Amino acid sequence: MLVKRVDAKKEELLDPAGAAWRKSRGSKVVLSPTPLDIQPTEYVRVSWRGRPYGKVPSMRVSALHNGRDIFFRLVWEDDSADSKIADTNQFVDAVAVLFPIAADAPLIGMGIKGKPVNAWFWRADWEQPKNVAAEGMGTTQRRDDPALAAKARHTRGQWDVVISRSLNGKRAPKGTATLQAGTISKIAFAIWQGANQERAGIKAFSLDWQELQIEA
Amino acid sequence: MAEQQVQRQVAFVFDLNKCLGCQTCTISCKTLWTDQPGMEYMWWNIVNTMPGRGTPRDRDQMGGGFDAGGNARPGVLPSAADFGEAWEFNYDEVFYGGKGQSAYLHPRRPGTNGVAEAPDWGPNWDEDQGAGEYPNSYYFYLPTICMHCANPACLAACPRQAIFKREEDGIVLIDEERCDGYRFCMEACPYKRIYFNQPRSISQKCVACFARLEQGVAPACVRQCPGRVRHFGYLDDPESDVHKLVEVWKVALRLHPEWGTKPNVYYVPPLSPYRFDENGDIDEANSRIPMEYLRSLFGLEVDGVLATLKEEMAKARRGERSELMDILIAYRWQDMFKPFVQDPGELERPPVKA
Ligand code: SF4
Ligand code: SF4
Repeated sequence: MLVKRVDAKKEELLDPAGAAWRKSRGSKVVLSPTPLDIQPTEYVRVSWRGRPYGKVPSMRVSALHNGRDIFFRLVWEDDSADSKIADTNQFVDAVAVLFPIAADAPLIGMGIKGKPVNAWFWRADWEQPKNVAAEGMGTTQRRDDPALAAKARHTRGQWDVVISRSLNGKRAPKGTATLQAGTISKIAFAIWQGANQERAGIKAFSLDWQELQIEA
Repeated sequence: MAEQQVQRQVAFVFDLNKCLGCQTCTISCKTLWTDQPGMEYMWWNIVNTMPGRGTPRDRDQMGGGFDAGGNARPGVLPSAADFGEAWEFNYDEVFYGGKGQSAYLHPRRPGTNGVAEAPDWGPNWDEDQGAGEYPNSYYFYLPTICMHCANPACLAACPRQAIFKREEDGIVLIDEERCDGYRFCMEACPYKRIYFNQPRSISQKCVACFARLEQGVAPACVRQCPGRVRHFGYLDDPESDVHKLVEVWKVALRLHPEWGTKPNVYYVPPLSPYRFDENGDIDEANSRIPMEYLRSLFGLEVDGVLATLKEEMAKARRGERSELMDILIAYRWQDMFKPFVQDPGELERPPVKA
């Protein structure tokens, strides 16, 4: 996946309907349900056995940067926009972009002890995405992070979300992946469908890290 | 999931023969713990008429807990409507609308703004309905709180390990900092004693008044109960009522022991008058609350417990001394929750922050 450098303002790039995105078709990322046997508790495994989840088959990802900030545009099909927790048995749609902190951090299981991963986690009921650090399932720590921003819209049965953060780790809290122009690193994705009560490890995710090349 | 080992365990014993259904316990908890936004619909303590559908609605059909082999059982996540939403009232119309003489206060479902949609469910909605036909109709009151289980299904279910059982007293608490609002605990708790705080996006439940316990004060529901229903103390303290009722006299039983969570709330099961037969004569072989029903709630031991209660009552009636009756009558109020006898009114209070 290539992150092209463009000459555009942050406001324009953060807007999924912005002109800068018109030229980029993006690439298709195939998703699958997170395996049941790696869910951290017996209850989660038992209660989701035989119950479909992680059914979003794929998403479209495009990425741009302007030398200062990096932007990921994430588009996927979801008939129902669940953007508010309106009841005790209701959940919201969400998407995450993941990066390894340790170069060989495993994606399955969200890293392991000593080999953390970093996620930028957008939830449809939040103004701002949160920065997540994890060293294995169930260890995630969510933090507000002023360097993270997102803008989303739901049209014609699709979520269309742009998540951005400053390049070069500016203002980044500890445990954040630093992305730099002219480097190659890795990236992965996850999607939760609120209408299906998906949360925590019950999600769709891209099976493996993908290469992320950031244009100089 | 193995039982959680702790150094000491506190326990509650509720005597169902004395509960008045007054909900003083419920209100004492409400005013102390759940009066903040997002908590309107929460009743960490609730008293239900039995037989009844319970709180939340049809709780016994919601699953959770463990099967006979100790495996987790899937559960249902109740909606706010199942618990019973906090109603709104037409105060404006009655008090400020110039209709003080013609309009009257009536409840509305929340969020129905202006539209007077009448509620069709609430906590303890089926109050005093019970079961059976006159003259053999019957009911009793059943207070429930978080059971502070020895084998908490909530704790086992949480993928974030946000729930813990305290070493020093075995109470089960949710760490609000770690909780991410996933609500697996709500599904897994068979007693459905966990509520979800929507604005804060976290799960919340009875905290056994831990801050009071640390000062030697009994939980609010225990201290406030006018019926002297609630005994409280350390299970391993030979001086405590709970020890005597659970371990020595063995007259206090767990609710739905088959759910496998090993609650630390116990109940003295309810006796009831004899039935009338078809001729209108007293049928001494059968009590009004059917034994099958009590067995379905408290297990097979309930027969023996009721027999013990009857024997001890007979003794007392003959003028003989019965330690069990003395405990259950609770002559001395403070004996019910030794050693948590500190009067909260006499504690030094930290200065109120401006
Ligand atoms: S009653 Fe429910 S919430 Fe309380 S400890 Fe037991 S399983 Fe957990
Ligand atoms: S305060 Fe006591 S008597 Fe009243 S409902 Fe609660 S347990 Fe029963």
